[in-house]
Amino acid sequence: MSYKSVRKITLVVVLLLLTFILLSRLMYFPVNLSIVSGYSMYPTLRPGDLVVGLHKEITGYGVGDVVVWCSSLTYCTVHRVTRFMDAYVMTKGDNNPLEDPPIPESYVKYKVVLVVPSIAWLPACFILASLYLIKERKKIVMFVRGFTGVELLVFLVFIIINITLIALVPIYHFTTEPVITKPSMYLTSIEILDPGSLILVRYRLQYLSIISIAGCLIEVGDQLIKCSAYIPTSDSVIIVVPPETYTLAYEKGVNSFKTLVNLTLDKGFLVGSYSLHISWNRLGVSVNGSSLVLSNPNYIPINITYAKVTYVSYDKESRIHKVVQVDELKSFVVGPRNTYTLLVESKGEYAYVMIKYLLMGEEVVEQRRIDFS
Amino acid sequence: MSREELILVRRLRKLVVLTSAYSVFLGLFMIYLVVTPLYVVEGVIKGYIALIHHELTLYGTPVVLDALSGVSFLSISLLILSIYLILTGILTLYLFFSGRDFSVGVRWLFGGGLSALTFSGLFLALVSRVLSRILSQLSLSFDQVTSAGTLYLGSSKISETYPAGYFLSPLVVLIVILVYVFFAAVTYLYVMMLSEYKLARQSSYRGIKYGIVGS
Repeated sequence: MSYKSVRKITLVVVLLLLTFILLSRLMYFPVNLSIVSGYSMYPTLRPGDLVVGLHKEITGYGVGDVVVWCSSLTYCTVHRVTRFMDAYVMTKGDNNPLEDPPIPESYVKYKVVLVVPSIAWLPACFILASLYLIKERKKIVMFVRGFTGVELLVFLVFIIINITLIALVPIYHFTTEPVITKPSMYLTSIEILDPGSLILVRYRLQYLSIISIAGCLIEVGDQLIKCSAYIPTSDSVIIVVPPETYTLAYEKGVNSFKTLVNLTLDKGFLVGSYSLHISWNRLGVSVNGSSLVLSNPNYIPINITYAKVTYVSYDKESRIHKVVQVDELKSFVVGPRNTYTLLVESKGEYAYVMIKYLLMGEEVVEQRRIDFS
Repeated sequence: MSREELILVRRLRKLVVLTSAYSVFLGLFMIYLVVTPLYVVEGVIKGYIALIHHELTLYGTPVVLDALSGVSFLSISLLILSIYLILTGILTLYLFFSGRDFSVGVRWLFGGGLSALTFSGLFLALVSRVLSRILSQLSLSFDQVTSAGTLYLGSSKISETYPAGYFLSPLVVLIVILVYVFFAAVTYLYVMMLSEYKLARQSSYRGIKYGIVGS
C-alpha cells in the first residue's frame, strides 16, 4: 500500500472517529466514543481512557453494567448501574461514596463494551503524529517559511485545541441539579409493643447510620421522665418506657405522650419527637363457658374494686327465680394489656356476675349472666 | 531612514520589550489562576478547588465531581496558551536583545493575543457559569427537618482564596487580556508599518539603481 493511501485511510479513520463522537450525542447512533474525564469510576476507568459504547437497544443493560447516560447534548456520564427504581435507573461511580440522583431510563444511551486505556491510545496517537511530522518535515518547514500569516495560524491552532477539548469533554449541564446527594432519614413506623413497656421506632436511612442513643426522654403533660433505648437493628430504635409513664398519663387524664430521642449518627445527630396516642378504654367483658373473661386494653392495670356473683336457681314448675347464694369477691387487678379469667362455680341454674372499677375517675359497672346448663 | 521611520523604530523597540514582558507576565498570571486554589470549602465538605485540580471530601470520604473534572480538562487549553505566551515572550525578547529579526516573534505574540481574547471567553464561561454553578451546590446546609425529626448534619461554606479568588473577577481578567491584545496589536501594526517603509525604501533603491521610473 502506498504512503498516500495510508495517509488517506488515516485521515478518513480520524474523521470517522470525530464524527462518531459528535453524532452519537446528537442523535441515535449505534456506536459511541467517549473520553473519561474524571476519577469517579477509578480504578475501573481512568481519566483519558477511551470508552466504546454500543446503543442500549442493541446490547441491553442491567445491574452492574457500565453505561453512558446523557442528561443533555453536552452532559454525559459514564457510571455503573446499581439498581432500577420503577422508571428510574440508579447509577454510581465506582469511586463515589454515593449514588447519583435517580435518572430516567431514557437518559441511558449506551452500554460500555470496550475500554481503551489512555496509556494505549494516547502514545499510539502521539507516535502516529510524530511519524507523520518526521515524514513530512520538509513540507512542513517549507509551509511555515512560506506562510506569511503566522499570527492567523497560531490563532487557528488554538481555536482547534478549544473545539477539540469541548467536543471531547462533557460540559457540566446547567440544569443538572444535585451534585452531592444529601444524607437523610425518615420515620417509617412507630408502635407500642405489648404490654406497653417498649416502643419500636423504625427509620428509612439514606447514607446515614445510627451509632448510639445520646438521650431519651418521655414527656407526659408537663412532666419529663428519663427513659432508656437501644438499637436492635441498623434502622430501628427501641425505647424502653418506664412503668410510671402510663400511670402518670392516666392520673393526668391525658390521651398522649411524647418520646424525645437524640440519636448520634455517623454524620451528625437527630433530635426526634414522636407523639403517641393512648386511649383509655373500658375492660372487655365476655362469658366463656362458666367463666367471665376480663380483658384490659389499657397500658395500666385496672383494679376491680368490687365483684359480686349472684347464683340463681329456677323452678320450672312454679317458674320462680330464686337467689341461691351471693358471693362477694375480693378486689383483684387485671394487668395492662392482659386478660383475667374469673371462674364461677356451677350453683343453681345461672349466675349474675357484677364488677365495678374506676376508669378516668368514673365508676364503671359491668354485669353478665352465666348460664350453667 | 527617514525621521518618521526612526521614531517608529524607537517606539517599536520599546513596544516589543513591553509586549514580550507582558506576554510572559500574562502567561504566568494565567498559570497562577489555573493552578492556585481559587476556592476553599469548609464544613462537611472540605477541600479546595483550582481550575486544573480539586480535592474534596464529604464527611471525610473523597468525592470526585465529574463536572469539576470536566473543568480541569478544559483548563488544559488555558495552560497550553499560558505556556505558549511565556515561550513566545521569552523568544521575542531573546531575538530582540540578540539583534536578530524579531518581527516573527511579534507575529507569534499577536497570534497569542488573538487566541487569548477567545480564551478569555472560555475562561470567563468556565469560571462565571460552570464553576460558580457547581460552587453554589457545594455551599449548602445538610440540616433538615424530616418525619424522623430534626437532622443536624452540618453545612459547608465556600470562601474565595486571596488573592487568586479576587483576580477571577471577569473585569480583571478581561482588562488584563485586553491590555495584552492592545499592546500585541499595536506592536504588530508598527512592524507592518516598518515593513511597508522598508519595502518603499527597497523599491526606491531599486528605482535609483536600475533607473526605474514610477508612473
